[in-house]
Amino acid sequence: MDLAGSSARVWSLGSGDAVGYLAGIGGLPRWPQVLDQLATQRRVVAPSLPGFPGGAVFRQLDSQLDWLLAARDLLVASGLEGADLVGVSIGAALAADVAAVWPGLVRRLVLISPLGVFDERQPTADIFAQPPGQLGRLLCADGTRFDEHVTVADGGDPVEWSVQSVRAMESAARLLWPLGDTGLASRLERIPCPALLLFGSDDRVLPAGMRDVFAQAIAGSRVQVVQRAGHLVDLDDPETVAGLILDHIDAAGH
Amino acid sequence: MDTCFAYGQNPSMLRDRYLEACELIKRAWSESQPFPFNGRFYKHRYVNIWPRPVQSPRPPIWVPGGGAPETWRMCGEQGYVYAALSYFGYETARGVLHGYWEEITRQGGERNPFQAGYLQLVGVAETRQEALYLYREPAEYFYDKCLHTNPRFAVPPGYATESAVRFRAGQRNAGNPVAQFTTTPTFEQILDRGYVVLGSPDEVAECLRGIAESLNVGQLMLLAHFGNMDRELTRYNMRLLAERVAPQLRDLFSDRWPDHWWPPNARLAPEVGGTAPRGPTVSA
Repeated sequence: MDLAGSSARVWSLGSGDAVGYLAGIGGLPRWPQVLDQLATQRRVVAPSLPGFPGGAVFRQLDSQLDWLLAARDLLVASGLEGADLVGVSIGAALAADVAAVWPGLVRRLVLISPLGVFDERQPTADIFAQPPGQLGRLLCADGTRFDEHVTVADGGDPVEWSVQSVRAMESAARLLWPLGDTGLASRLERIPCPALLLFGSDDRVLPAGMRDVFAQAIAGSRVQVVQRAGHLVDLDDPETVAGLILDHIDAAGH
Repeated sequence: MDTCFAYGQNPSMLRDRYLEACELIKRAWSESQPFPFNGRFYKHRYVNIWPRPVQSPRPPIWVPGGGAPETWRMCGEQGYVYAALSYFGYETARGVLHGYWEEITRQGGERNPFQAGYLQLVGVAETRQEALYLYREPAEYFYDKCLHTNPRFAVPPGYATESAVRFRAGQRNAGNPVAQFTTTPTFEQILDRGYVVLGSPDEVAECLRGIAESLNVGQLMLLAHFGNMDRELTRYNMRLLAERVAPQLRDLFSDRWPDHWWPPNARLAPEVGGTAPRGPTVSA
């Protein structure tokens, strides 16, 4: 898809009403199992955020407003205006902001381990200051899940896969550096649509207390905790996550 | 570590911010009247510096680099000195400077060695044995305590450009040495890898001449103080370097190339006054 002079990859599978999917830290270097699960009942649409694998250029995005407009344009260009939307981690930070700023853009919302808010009393982990090889263990309860997700595919160029991973982390840093505070906290109360908040019981990035911060700020939201799952809940337990997402977005009678 | 983790600057924006700052500084040096600057990162209603540089339109610019191809390109295009700030010896710098000279050639530029700099830690004494005795502890101190970086903070995302990531991967795949900020070398490794050049004045001069010629570098930045060297030892090292090593190197390249990047009247500056320091003694 062309997007403001740059191209972005949009993955899609299944039929029926669309549900958008904004992936978490690391993005989607390969097709994840959770999208297969969602595609059994819906047409799942996964556009790549700028800088993430398949994503458009990102080095012109200097501010939170730039990022917000880019995310909104990407969703609209992907045919997701008025659709249900799932966001994970950094994707959830943008999904929440889009839902808050453009009422009607998102029908029903699922935020999985959302970033975007920082609390000095319960700081999130610094995903950008990890020893080499330790990121997987930080992001997933089973670190091999993340490592396998980002490991070079058969026939792929290891150096270019490495560059792709570096670029994805730089893009995340561009939005989240240094604390991961995008100013979202002051806008959460504007979210008008039904929201499901999903967290992993073993999230090593978001302290458990952050669940209440989001739940209390978003009126009518519901919290569910997936057991034995880490920050990227969708990689740790795709079947449970897909089931909870479908329950939430189909609750209105689809 | 310092800029991004300590000061909170966004590593993804550092390079563009740096380039814009260069433009702002050069304009401030060269414009004769106050002016507004509306940059992407820097916004100033009034730019009006004092004192103004002696040189017109500006002093020479030297840029430290660690192997990003973007920096090689910028130095070639803008006429800056590219200074390979290798604390990890000339073998590590070789790949970096090779890439720089390749870029200069690609741009159709001259391979004027004075447009390249190289940093080398140096310890001079009357004999090699004395140098080993005097500089072992400072060298070990420097690489263990002053340069060591916790791997968590070594590479904030975006600090190294994608081209630099590819360059370093290529260096590793070719078996070439790369900078090692996260491990502490032994003293033997410090010497074997050329991190520190130690010896008598003649030995050091010969080694530095070989480095300069093989790297095609005309600007040698010789670090005579490192680690926990005290004032007396530092002065001893500097004096031997200035009086017994530098004179052996002054002719390097100067017969073939003009040095546009060094103040012409500072090349043979008169000796700085002061009392001569006593050299440390070596216990047998």
